[in-house]
Amino acid sequence: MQRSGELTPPEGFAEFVAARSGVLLRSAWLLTGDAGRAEDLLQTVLADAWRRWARITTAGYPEAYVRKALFTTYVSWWRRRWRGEIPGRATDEPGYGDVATESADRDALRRALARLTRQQRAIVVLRYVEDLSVERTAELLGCSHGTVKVQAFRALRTLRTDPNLELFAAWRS
Amino acid sequence: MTYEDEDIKLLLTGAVPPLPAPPDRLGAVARRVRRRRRRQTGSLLLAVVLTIGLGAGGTALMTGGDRAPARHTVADPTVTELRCPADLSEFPDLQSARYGGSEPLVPEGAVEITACEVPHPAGMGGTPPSAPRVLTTGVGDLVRMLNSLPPQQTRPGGRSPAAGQPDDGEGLRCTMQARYSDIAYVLRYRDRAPVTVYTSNNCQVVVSGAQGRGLDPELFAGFLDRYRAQVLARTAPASIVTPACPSTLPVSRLRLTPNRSGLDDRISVDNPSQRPQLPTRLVAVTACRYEIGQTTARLTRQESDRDGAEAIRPVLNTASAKGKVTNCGSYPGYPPPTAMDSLLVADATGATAEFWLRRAPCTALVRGKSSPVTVTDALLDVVDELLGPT
Repeated sequence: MQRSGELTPPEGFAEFVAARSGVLLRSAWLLTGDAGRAEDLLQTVLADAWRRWARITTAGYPEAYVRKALFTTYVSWWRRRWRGEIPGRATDEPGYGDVATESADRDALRRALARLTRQQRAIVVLRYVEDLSVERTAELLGCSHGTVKVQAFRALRTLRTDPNLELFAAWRS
Repeated sequence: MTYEDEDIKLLLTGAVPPLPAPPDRLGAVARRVRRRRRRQTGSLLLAVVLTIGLGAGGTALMTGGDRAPARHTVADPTVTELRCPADLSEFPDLQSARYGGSEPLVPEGAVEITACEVPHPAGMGGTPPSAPRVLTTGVGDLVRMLNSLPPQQTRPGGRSPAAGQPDDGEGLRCTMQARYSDIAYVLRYRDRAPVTVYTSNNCQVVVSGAQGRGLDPELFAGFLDRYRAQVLARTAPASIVTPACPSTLPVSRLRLTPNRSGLDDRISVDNPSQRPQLPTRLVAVTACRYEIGQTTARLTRQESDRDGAEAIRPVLNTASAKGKVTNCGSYPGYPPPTAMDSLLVADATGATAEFWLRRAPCTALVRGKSSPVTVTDALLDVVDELLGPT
């Protein structure tokens, strides 16, 4: 029953949130490196999807829309900060890392990821977790193909040479 | 996808820690949708008002009408949801933070700071964490305080560059004091996502994002001073109820055993340093006198005063600060008093506290869970003035 002043979600939206939020939140965490920011990013995107739900579901594949919005919103946050606060340094600023981890391996990798720039982090997640092509990644982030390639190369080099990742010597070799 | 690509994917997906879902994510999203609609409606109204205003202004300009002063508009500061960390497992790895940097710890422009008491994952020994305190006045001061924290730890327990010792590469040296909780501050901005600042009393550091700073305990006091001032400004004295004496007290509660629950003291919740014991103007005081029986202490007289309450504050503060610990009512046996008065005070923030004045067979002042201390003559005079001599 609807309580006074409470909005009713559009049909199918609550089921979508219940079913897919966990997966989307993992992507959001890989982008932000912070449980609170990841939840904030996800809720921001879901609120946007709520308003457009009829159109999104008519198009046929809501998760694709929401997933794309996750990255474009993250990039818009990154650009807003880059323009507004510390010009020329934002892309060098490491991602936020804050969630305590259960294992040394996971913690080492989290710290290594925190050394990547925001742009590198987004590119790595899109290319290697979401399996997007260079072209599609560039389109989504609004940068050139060359930028995607160069930043992906630098990001992997950072991860390979990170002293925290001694445990992954096999991968490095 | 190459083998290496697949390995990277496995590594990345394996890096994600367990992420607890909020209790009502759908409800939180609904609140964002509702706020966005309100903002849109507000923007539309503003546009209409501006259009009408510009039209009227143009007409006035053409007709030479009087100019009215421009009115300020205030934007809605609540742009995004914020949440307190659920427990200390959400705190960052302090070792991986970068200490010694000169850049600001947090961005300027915060409009609200929420102080969260974040419990240990195993709980707080049966006590719930205090409710989040939301500060909206004096926020800029707190941001400046955060950004002027020492670059590295300067107090015992962490790195010690203040002693002239370079970082030995061993990372933080933290004391192992058993703590049930630590404080996190969540800063809200008009135009960006909230920023969380994590404090660690054991390591004496503060971390936000990838940056770390030394912890200055004045940070906690600075927040609470402003928080009390905010509550004070928003509380009408007339709305504060004069405390009433309980008609009976179990004698077992009057015994100062080590595992006693202690006296009610809501004033110290927002004044943990207790220097002074009562930092805010008193609005009401009630004195209670009890006759002690075998198992129950019964109220024999009570007197309340509002006009003269503030005059009692320095007396109680002096007695609390100057009193020396006494063994009155202590080991061995933890005997209950044979005569006792109590003072119940309410300050201008609406918080209350209770003080016991053991009169016989020995005198002692008891507050909170502190050890009993010797009583000042001034305090005895105040109580006797209210209740009459014993």
